[in-house]
Amino acid sequence: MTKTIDSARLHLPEHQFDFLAGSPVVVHCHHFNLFWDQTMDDALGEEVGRRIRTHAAHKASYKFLRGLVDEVGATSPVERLRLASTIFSAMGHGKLHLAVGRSGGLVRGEQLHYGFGWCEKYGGRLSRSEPADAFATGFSAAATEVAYNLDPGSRRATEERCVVDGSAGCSIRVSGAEAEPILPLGVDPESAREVLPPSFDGMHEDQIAPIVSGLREFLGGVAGDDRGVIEAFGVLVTAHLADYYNHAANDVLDIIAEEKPAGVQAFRALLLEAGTACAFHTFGGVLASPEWEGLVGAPTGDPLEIVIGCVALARALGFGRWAIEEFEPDTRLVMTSPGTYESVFSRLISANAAEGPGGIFVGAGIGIMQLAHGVGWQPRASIDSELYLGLARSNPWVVTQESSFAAGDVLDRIVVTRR
Amino acid sequence: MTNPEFAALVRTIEPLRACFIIEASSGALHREFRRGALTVEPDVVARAVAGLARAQTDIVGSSEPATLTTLEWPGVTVIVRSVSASALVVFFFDAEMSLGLARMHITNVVDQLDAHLPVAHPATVRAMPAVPPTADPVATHDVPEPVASPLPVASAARATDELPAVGGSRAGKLLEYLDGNAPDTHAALLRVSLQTGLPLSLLKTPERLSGEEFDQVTASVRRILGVEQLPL
Repeated sequence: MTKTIDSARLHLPEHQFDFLAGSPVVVHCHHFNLFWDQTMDDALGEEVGRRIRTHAAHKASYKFLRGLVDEVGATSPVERLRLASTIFSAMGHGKLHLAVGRSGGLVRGEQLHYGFGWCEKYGGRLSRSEPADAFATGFSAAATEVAYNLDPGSRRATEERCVVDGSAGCSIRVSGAEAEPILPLGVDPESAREVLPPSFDGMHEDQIAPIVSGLREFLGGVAGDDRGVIEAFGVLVTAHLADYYNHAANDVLDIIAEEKPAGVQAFRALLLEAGTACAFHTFGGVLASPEWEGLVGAPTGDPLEIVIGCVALARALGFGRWAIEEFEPDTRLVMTSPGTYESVFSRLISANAAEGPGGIFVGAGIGIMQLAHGVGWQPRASIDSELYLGLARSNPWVVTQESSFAAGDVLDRIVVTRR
Repeated sequence: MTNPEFAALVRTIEPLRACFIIEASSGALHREFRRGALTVEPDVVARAVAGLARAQTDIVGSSEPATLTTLEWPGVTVIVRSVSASALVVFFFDAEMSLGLARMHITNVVDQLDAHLPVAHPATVRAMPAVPPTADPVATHDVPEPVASPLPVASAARATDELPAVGGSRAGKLLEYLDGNAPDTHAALLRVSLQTGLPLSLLKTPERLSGEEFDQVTASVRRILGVEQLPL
């Protein structure tokens, strides 16, 4: 290899997007990731849902890994497989042992994020027989193809064992059987720059900007540990391919709009719920962390302070340049963004952008208001599932999306008010 | 279930060093599995754990069937799972084992053990006095008998739950049960709507569900709870 992985990073400061090897990367926790995948399966059933998710992972990962080997100059199959395994772990997805040849092979997984995360979150109270690691599965197929310069979609992967059913580890079979061609489309920096409108400032930029800067510096040093796991802020963290979420949600939406239109409303509502959970667990977890205290200071509980912190976090995590247009404590929050990682995908890639699934920006609006008004931050907040459930059940907030960049408007804009 | 069958069941869990089923009131060893040598004798562990369970019962005031007690010893994590008023299962895991995975294995094992646990004797259901287990003649002479599991459910606690006895239609009770047991319960009805394709407005008025729709909702509730049957 002629270059390091770091050389493949690109930050678009005007729009607060992060790219790695030409693919947009965002940071999400296991609460969000599990809920997101679960929603896909709820829509289509576990078997079809898993197939769609695996397919989405395959598409996103092929584009990503193809870009990565080119960027760093990895030429041999061994180099490329090692690179794929290294980046997978560095992004917090666990460890993949890619023992694959040109025709396929067996991939052993350890602490794979979804299976491991499911066990951590639900293992004590639910049973599950369907494998959980669709992302690792699609990633393994793509890694094989990229390593051996094969056509995208020429290899197929299936998770044969997963820790969620009590197995000691995970294993993924890669083969050439029943493969189907894929189009590894996704957002890239050039097309994002072309489609995005100029950025703009919101309120309290003088406070938000330095927090974003400090957070980015801190997060730049966060990577998977020896197990390929990032345990931070009370959650399991991943740096994830935004194209994965977007492909999966868009593909599922296309299917249910055709086959089960009555489910579309619930599907959108559940994606919004995923956004709310993300804001609560990830933003809240960071705000309550010692790292935040060292960087910004312990939250006093002032609602404006929480809203400012959350907007800064959204930017630092690669969600887009969210801004505060208006905030009236206990009453109203208006947030804008020239685009989010979801709406840019919808605008560029989706067949039916106006009806794109969305979710993160809209749902996070409610989560931010819950954090600002429903959490006791002093002496120290305990951001956990029990508190989240309590807040969710008595949620007084309602959100409206007034402008949608995906649908052709000039920006994304949401308004959160009391019911 | 014979002891070899029990050992075969738990042996597949690689980080598990040992596993015992203990009669809760007496500390009598019901089944045991060991992988290699243990630094303590199973009988000693059984008596100690039974004492721990009694202490917990004294504090809490009643048996809580699905409680977990975790003890960390050098190199080993011991988790005691109370699965009924009369039975405890003690798991010895390698210390490196994550607690989430351990809990998952425990759930799976307990599900399969359910039909083979020691049955509760009337004399042992009450809160136990704080005396050594061997001093309780009734419990000491209890012969564990198999008890039929009503449901192959995710947890032993849930297996003994029943739907609310009052209020609403059968469908309403079904959704109440979901509300009380689903993960992320605030989103459970939306999940039913998405899985079944039935509008949320209809699910909020469950008395309007047709027979076919009720069956759809029932299947969805089972799926969300990860169970094959519901205590209808």
